[in-house]
Amino acid sequence: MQNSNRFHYGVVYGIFAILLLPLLSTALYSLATRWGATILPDGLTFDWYIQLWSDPRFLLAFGQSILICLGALALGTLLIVPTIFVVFYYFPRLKWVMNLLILLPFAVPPVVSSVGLLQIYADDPFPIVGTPWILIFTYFTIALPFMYRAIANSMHALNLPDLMDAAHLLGASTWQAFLLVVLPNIRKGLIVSLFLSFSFLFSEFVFANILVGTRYETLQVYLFNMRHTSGHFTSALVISYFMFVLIFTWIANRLNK
Amino acid sequence: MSQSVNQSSQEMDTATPVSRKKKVSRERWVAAGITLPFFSLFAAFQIIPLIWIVVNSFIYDEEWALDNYLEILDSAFLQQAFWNSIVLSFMASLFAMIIGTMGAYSLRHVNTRLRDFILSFNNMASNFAGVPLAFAFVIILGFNGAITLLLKSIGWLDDFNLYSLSGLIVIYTYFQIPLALLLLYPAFDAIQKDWEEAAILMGASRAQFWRKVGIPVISPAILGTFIILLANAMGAYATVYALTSGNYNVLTIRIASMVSGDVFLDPNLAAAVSVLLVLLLALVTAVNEWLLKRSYHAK
Amino acid sequence: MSYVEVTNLAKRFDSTPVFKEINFTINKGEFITLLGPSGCGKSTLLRCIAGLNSVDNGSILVDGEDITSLPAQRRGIAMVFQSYALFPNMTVTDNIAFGLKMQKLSSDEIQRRVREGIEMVELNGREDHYPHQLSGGQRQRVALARSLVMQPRILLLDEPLSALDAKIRKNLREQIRLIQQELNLTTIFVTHDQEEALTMSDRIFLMNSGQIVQSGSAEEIYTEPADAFVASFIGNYNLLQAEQARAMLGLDTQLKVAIRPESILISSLSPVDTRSHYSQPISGTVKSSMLLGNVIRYRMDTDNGELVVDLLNRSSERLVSRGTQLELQVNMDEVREVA
Ligand SMILES: Nc1ncnc2c1ncn2[C@@H]1O[C@H](COP(=O)(O)OP(=O)(O)OP(=O)(O)O)[C@@H](O)[C@H]1O
Ligand SMILES: [Mg+2]
Repeated sequence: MQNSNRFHYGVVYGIFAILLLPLLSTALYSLATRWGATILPDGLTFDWYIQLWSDPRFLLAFGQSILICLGALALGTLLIVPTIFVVFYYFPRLKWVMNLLILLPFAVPPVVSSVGLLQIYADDPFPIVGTPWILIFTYFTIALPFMYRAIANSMHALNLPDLMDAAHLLGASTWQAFLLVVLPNIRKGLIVSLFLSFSFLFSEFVFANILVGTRYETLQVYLFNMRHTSGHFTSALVISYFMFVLIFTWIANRLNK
Repeated sequence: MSQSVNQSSQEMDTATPVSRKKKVSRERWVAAGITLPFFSLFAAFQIIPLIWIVVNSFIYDEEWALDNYLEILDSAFLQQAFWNSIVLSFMASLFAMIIGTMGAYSLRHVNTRLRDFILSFNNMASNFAGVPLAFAFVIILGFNGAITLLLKSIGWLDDFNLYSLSGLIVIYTYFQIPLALLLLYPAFDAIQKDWEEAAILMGASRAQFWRKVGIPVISPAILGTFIILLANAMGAYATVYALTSGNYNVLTIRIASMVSGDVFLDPNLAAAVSVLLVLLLALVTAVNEWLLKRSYHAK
Repeated sequence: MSYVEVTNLAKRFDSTPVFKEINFTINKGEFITLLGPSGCGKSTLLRCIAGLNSVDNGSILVDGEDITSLPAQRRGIAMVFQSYALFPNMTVTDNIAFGLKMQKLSSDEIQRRVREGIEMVELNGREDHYPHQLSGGQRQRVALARSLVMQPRILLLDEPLSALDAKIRKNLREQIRLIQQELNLTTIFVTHDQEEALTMSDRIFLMNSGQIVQSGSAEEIYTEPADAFVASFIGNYNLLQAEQARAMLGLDTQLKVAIRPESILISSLSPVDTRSHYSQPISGTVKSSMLLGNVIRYRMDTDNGELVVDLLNRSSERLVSRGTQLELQVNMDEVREVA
C-alpha cells in the first residue's frame, strides 16, 4: 500500500516536472546575462525585460493582439448568445445541427482553412486578407466551440421551456424574459468561456501568420519574427506572454469554482 | 417599451386561437432571422473555405481534372510529407497517451490538494504550445541547450537533434500531454471504487480486475483520446514551423508553403493535399466510431 | 459457540476513531440488521468484516477461524453494495459468473450455479442484458445473485435498497429475507430505515457514534429502548426531561422518560383500558392533526410541553379540530425511564 502510493506520487510529480521544465528554463534564460555552452547561466539580469517592454514594435503587437481578440469575442458574444437562445427555445430539434457545426473548427486544421480563406478573401468583393478584419471573423469561428459548449451547458441547466413559460405567465415578453431571466443565468458560463477563449485566441499563430503576417502584426507573429534576435530577448517575450495568458486562465478557473 | 409589451401580451391572451397561431409563427420567423448573421458569418469563414478547397482540388489549369491528385501520387516529396506526418503524429500521440494514462491513473491516488493543483497547472500548460514552446525547447534541448549538455555530460546522450524526427516527437509529445491528461482524467473517474472492491470480494486480484473490468471499461475513452491526439498532431503547424523554419517535411508545412511561401505557389495542389489530410482524419475518426459501436457501450 | 465473533474491534482513519470497542456475536443463519444514523460507522464496520478496510485492534472469528488479517479474497464473505457495483462491460450472466471464474470452477459447475442464481432472483430472460439495460431493482437482484452464487459464509448488504422506490423496495426486501432463510445464510444488513429493520431482522444492532448501543429483537428494541438515543431513533417516542416527567406524570425520577405515542389515550374519545394503570388526566390543546393512513397523529400542547399522540383511525368523526381542549392519560405500564 505504502509502496504503491509512493509510485503514484512519483508519477504525478514526474509529469509536473516535465511540464514545468521548459517554462522554468525559459524563465531562467530570460533572466540570464549569458548562457552559453554551460549547464547553468553566468549571471542574472532584468535587462531583457526592460529592453522588451521598451520596444515600440512589441507594444504595438501586444495592443493589436488584444484588439483582435476582443473584437472577435465581442462579435462572438453578440451573435452566438442570441443564436443559441433561439435554437434552444424555438428550434430545439435543430440542436444536432449546432453540435455538428461546432465540430468543424476542431476537425479542420487551421492550415487547411487558411488555404480557402486566403484565396477567397484576397480579392474583390472582400479584399480583407492582410487586414485585422479577416482575423476577427476567423477567430469568431474558432472560438465558437468553446463559447457554444459553455453557454449551451448553462442554457441546458436552466430548463428553458419552463423558465420562459413562467416568465410569460408573469407578464414578460420573450425579449424581456431573455434579457432579464435567461441572460443573467448564463452570465457566469459566458464569462468563463470568454476568458478561456481569450487565452486560446491570444495564442493563435497559424491564421495570424498566413492570413495577415507582418501587415498587422500580432504578438505571436512578432515573437516568430524575432527568432533571429537574442534568445534571452525572445525568452523574456515568451515569459511575458505566458504570464499574461496565465492570468486569464487562472481567472477563468477561479470563476468556474 | 414596456407598455407596448404589456399590450402585446394582453392581445395574446384575448386573441382567438387562429390569430394566435399566426402570431407564434411570425415570432418564430423573427427568431430565425436573428440567427441569420451568425450563420452567414460562420458559413463565410468556415464552410465556404472548405467548399472552395474541395472544388478547387479538382481544378487544374482552370479545367475540371484529377491532375492535382495525380501529382500527389507522382511526387515522392509529398508522399514523404504524408509519411512523416503520420509517423510523427502516431508516435507522439502514443507516448502522450501512455504518459497521460499513467498520470490520470496516479492522480486518483494522491491527495486532493496536489490533484487540484496539478489539474489547474495542466490547464495552463495546455496553452504552452506553438511558437513559444518551440523557443523554449531550443533553449533546453537545442544544440547548446541546458538539458542536452547535462545529458551529454553524464553520458546518457551522445547524438540528439531537436530538429529531426526524434526531436519533433519529443516536442509533440510534450504539447499533447496536457490534452491527454485533460481528456483521460474524467474517464478514470468513471471507474468506481466499488467495482474494484466487489471484484476483490469475489476473489479477483487487482490485476485481474483491471484486465477483466477496468481496461474494457476505459478503453473506448483511451482510444477516443488517442484519435483526438492524432488529429491534433496531424493538424499542428506552428510548433514545427517555428522550430525548423519550415524545413521539416510534414503535411501542414507543405500546404502552407504552397499558399504563402515565396518559392512556388500552387493553391489548387494545396487544396488537394488538404482534402486528403481531412479525409485521413475523417477515416481515423470513422474507425474509432466503428470500434465504439462494437463495444458494450452501444448495446 | 457462535458462528461469528467480533471482539474489541477498533478502527480509526488517520487520527479520528470511527469505533473503539465493538463486541458482538452472531449465530449461524441469523439475519442481523445494523441500524443507525448517517456517519455512525455502519459501512466501516461492514468493510472491516469484509476485509476492505484494515482494523487497528481486535479480532474477527468466523466458524472458529480467525480471519482478522486474511485478505478480502480469501475470507469467503460476500457483499452487496448500495451502488450495486455491477461491472458495466459484462452481461448479467458474466457478472454472476465472475466470482466463480475467479475460483476456477469447471464451466459446467459455473453454468449450473449461474442458472440457479438467476432463477433464485427471478431474472430469467435477462441473461444477456448489460447493466445499463436493467432497471434499478433488476440491477440490485443481479448484485444479490452475484453474491449468492459464491455460497459465502457471511452475506453483507450495505443499504442495498436505499436507491430504489418504495414499492420495489418492499418487494425486494421480502425476497431477500426468503432467500436468506431458505439458504440459512448468516447475513448482516445495513440500513437507516427503521421500518426495514423492524420487519426483516432476527436481531437488530443499533449503532450510534461508533458504538452498538443496543442489540435485540425488533420487539425488545421497540418496547424497551436502552437509552434516550434509541428512544428518539426508534418509533416516535415522546422524550421528556426528568423535571417535565415529574410535573406531568407525578413520577419520582431523575432520568429522562420515554413514552410511545400509542400508549397515550385521549380519555374523552376512547375508554380507559381497566387492566392498565393510567396517569392522572392531563389537559392539552390540539396543535395539529395528521392522518397517517390507519393512524391519526395529534400534536398536543400541555402545561409541561408538547406530546405526540397516535390514535387508531377507526372512523372519521374522531378527527378533532385544531384548538380543541382534550383530556389525556398516559398508560404508566408503557412508560420507560431511559439514561
Ligand atoms: N476512507 C475514509 N477516510 C476517512 N474517514 C472516513 C473514511 N470512510 C469513512 N470515514 C468516516 O468514518 C465515519 C463513519 O463512516 P461510515 O461510512 O462507516 O458511516 P455510515 O454509518 O455507513 O454512514 P451512512 O449511513 O451515511 O452510510 C464517518 O465520520 C466518515 O466521515
Ligand atoms: Mg454507509
